[in-house]
Amino acid sequence: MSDFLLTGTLQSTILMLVALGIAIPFRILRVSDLTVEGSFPLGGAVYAALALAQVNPLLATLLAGFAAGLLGIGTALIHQRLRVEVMLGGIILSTMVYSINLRLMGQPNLSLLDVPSLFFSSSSKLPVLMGVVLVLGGALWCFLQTENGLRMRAAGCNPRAASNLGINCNSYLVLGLFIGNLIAGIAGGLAVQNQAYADVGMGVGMVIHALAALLLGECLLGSQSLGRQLAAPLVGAFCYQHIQGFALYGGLIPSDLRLVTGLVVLAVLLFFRKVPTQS
Amino acid sequence: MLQIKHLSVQFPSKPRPVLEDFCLEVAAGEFCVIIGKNGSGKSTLFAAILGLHSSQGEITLAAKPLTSLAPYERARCMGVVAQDADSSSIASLSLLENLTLASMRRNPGKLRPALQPQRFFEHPLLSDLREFANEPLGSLSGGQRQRLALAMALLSKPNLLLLDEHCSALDPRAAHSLMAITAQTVSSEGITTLMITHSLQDALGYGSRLLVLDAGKLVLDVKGSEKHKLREEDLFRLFSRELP
Repeated sequence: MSDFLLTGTLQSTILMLVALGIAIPFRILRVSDLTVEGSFPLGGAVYAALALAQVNPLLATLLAGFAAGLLGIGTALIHQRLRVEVMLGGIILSTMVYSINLRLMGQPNLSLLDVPSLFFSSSSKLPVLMGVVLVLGGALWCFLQTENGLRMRAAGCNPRAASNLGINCNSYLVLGLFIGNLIAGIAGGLAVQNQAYADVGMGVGMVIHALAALLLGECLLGSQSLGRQLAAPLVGAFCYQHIQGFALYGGLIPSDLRLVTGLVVLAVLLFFRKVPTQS
Repeated sequence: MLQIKHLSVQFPSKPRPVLEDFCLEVAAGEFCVIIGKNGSGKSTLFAAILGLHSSQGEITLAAKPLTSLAPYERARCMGVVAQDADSSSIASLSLLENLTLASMRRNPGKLRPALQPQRFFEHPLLSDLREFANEPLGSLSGGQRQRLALAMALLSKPNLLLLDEHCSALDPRAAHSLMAITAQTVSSEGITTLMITHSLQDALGYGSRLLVLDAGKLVLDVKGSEKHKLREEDLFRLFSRELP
C-alpha cells in the first residue's frame, strides 16, 4: 500500500508540473493551447538524448524545458503570423514534433537505467520532484506579481482593455506559451528520469490528464485569486493521480483505465459546470 | 498638439468612405466635444487615432507621427474611456492592480513587484474608492467603474484623452456627476481632450470647442464665444439637415 501511494505521489508531481504548465495558457492567457501534447515528450526526448551524451542531468533538464518552451513560442508565432487558431497551431506542432523526437532518440524508446539523473537515490525522488514543483510554482507566483506578470494577466483577461492600457498582448502570448511549455518540458525530462526510460509516445493523452487535474483542483479550491489559480493544478493533479491509483488498486483492469479516466473527466466537467449555477 | 491631415477611412462593406479627407488641428489643453448622427464617423475617428482601423492620411500627436505605430504603442501616450467600462479596465483584476497597470502605461515592463505603495487614492476621482482597493471591479457600481476608468486614463498624464460617450451607460444623476468631474479634471490638469457625446446639453455645456460631424466630414467647428451663442435648437436643426 505504501509503495502504491508513493508511486502515485511521484507520478502526481510530474502531472502537477504539466497541469501548472497548461494553467498558464488556459487560465492566465485564456487560450486553448494543446502544445503540451508535444512539448512534454519533446522535453523527455531532449533529456534522453542529452543524458546519453553524458550531459549534466540538471543542465539536460533545463535544456529539455527550454526546447519545449521554444515549441510554445512556435505555436504563438503560428497563431500571430499565419492567423491560425492557437489550438490548431498547437495540434500541428505536436504532430510535427513526433518526428523530431524520433530523430533525437534514434529509436522509439530508450533505456536510461545506467545513466546519472537528478535523483541520486530512489528515496530522493519524491523530495527532488516536490522541490522542483515548489520552486517552479513559487517562481511562477512571484513572476505573476511583477509588472510583467500583471501585464500578462491583463492581456489574458481582456486583450482589448489591455491594448488600451498600452500592453502588447502578442508579446505576452509568446512569453506565456514559452513559460507554460517550458514547465511541461521540464516535466517530460523529469518523467524520463523517474521511469529511467524515454518513449516517443509518452505525451499521448497528457493534455486530457492535465486538464482534468486542473479542473478537479478548481472544483476543490476555486479560482477566485491568483494563489488559488496556481494551487489548483497542484492539488488537482495529486487527487486525480490518486483517484486513478485507487481505481487500479481496487481491481480495475489496466486496459479499462482510459475509459475510467474519461468518465472521471466528464464527471469533473459536469460538477465544474454546476458550480457557477449554485453560486 | 493633435494634427490630423487628409484622413480617410473606407470599409470594404460600405460604398462610401466613413471618413473622407478629414482634417483637424487641436491645440494643447483644448477640450473638444464631438457630436454627430449615428454613422457620421465619430467613433471611426477615434478608432483611426488609436490605429484600430487601417486609414489613409497623417495623424501626429505632440509632433510624433502615429501612423507607423501599433495600437498598443499609440495607447501609451493616450487615455481612453469608452461607454463600456470593459474596454478601459479589467474586471477580474483588483482595483489596485488596474491602477498599477494604468500608472505604468508609459514604462516598459519590468521584473519588479508591481503593487508598490503609491498615492493613487489621493487623486480626487479615487478618494472614496480606497475601501475597494483589493476587490475585483465587479463590486463597483457603473458610475464608480467609469470614474475609475477616467482616473486610469489620467494617471499616466496622457498627451490626449479620448472619451467615447463615457457617460451614456449611466443613470442621469451619475452621468451628470461624472461629466462635471470630467470637465473639472481635464481643465485643471490641462489635458487635450476629444469627447464624443449624443447629449446636446453636454455638447453645449462643456468643452471649449464644438465639432459636428456628418457623413465623415466636419460640418461645424466653433469655439469660444461662437460656441456659447449656440442653442440646442441650432444643433438639432443641423442634425435634421440632409447633406448631399
